[in-house]
Amino acid sequence: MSSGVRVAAVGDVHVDRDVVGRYRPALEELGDKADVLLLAGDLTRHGTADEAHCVAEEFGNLAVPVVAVLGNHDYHSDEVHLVTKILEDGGITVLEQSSTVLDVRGTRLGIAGAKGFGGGFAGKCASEFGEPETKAFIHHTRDVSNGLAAALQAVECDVRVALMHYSPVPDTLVGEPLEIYPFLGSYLLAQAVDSAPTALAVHGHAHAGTERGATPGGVKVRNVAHPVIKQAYNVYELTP
Amino acid sequence: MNEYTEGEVQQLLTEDPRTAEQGIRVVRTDDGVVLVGEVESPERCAQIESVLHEAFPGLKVRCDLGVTRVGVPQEVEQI
Repeated sequence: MSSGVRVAAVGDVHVDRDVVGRYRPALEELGDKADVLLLAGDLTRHGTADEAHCVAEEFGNLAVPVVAVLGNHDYHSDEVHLVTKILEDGGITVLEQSSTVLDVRGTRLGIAGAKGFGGGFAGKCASEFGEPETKAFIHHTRDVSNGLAAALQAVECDVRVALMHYSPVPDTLVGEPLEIYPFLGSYLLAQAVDSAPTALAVHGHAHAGTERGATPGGVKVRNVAHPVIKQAYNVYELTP
Repeated sequence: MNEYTEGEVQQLLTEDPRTAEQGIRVVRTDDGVVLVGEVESPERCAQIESVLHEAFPGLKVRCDLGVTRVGVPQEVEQI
């Protein structure tokens, strides 16, 4: 293992009973490959307690800490608190506008996470204007983005990672239909990432997107949706 | 297949609890539809096909769906 901090990441694993055991052989090698595993949302298919137990079984008890955010699928059954509790009981740290710090051979790795939301990208996005439904949609994006910014700014660490489900940039959506970009992410998330000295931003959600991008402030963004990376997880090495 | 049926197929793939798939591309052909994308298990490919046959019995459905690989990464990207 080198002296940098190695971050493994995957999103959109959509675990149910039929998936349990599929990732496990690759996960058993994580201890040799990485220092932490990030799960970038859409851990389940419908956000049920049963599926959360399957996630905990598949991604729990690993050789490295596991840190997750939830995605839109994980909200579908309105059981977010229960899903979160089951994951946490299984040893998975779940972030939502919050952060955690891991000690990696003396380096403090700070991870701030939030689900994120849609709205679109600078100059081509929805605004808090008009019908209550439209205002609520963008208000939620703004709230989540502000919460992520606060978490990123507050975390005391040597190297900082932002973890989201929705995308902060359009770069990593290339391959998706342009018409659905506003439902895949928001530039307000990029603004949050750029508000602190962030080393890497990781997201999922865009199954047909592209792995690599960057925020306007130059922070590298990686789309780790499982169908994009086409392996159990990707590994990124960060040097403080 | 007309445009409205294409829309209904897309909505069904997402909203039917037996499928719950948002990442599958529906491609219209002269005589039906081709589904393109990746899912997390072989059972899900079969389930998607079955749900579509049930909802659209006269529609010719061809599935070009793969199961996303879960191999161990051999490379590390320096950030």
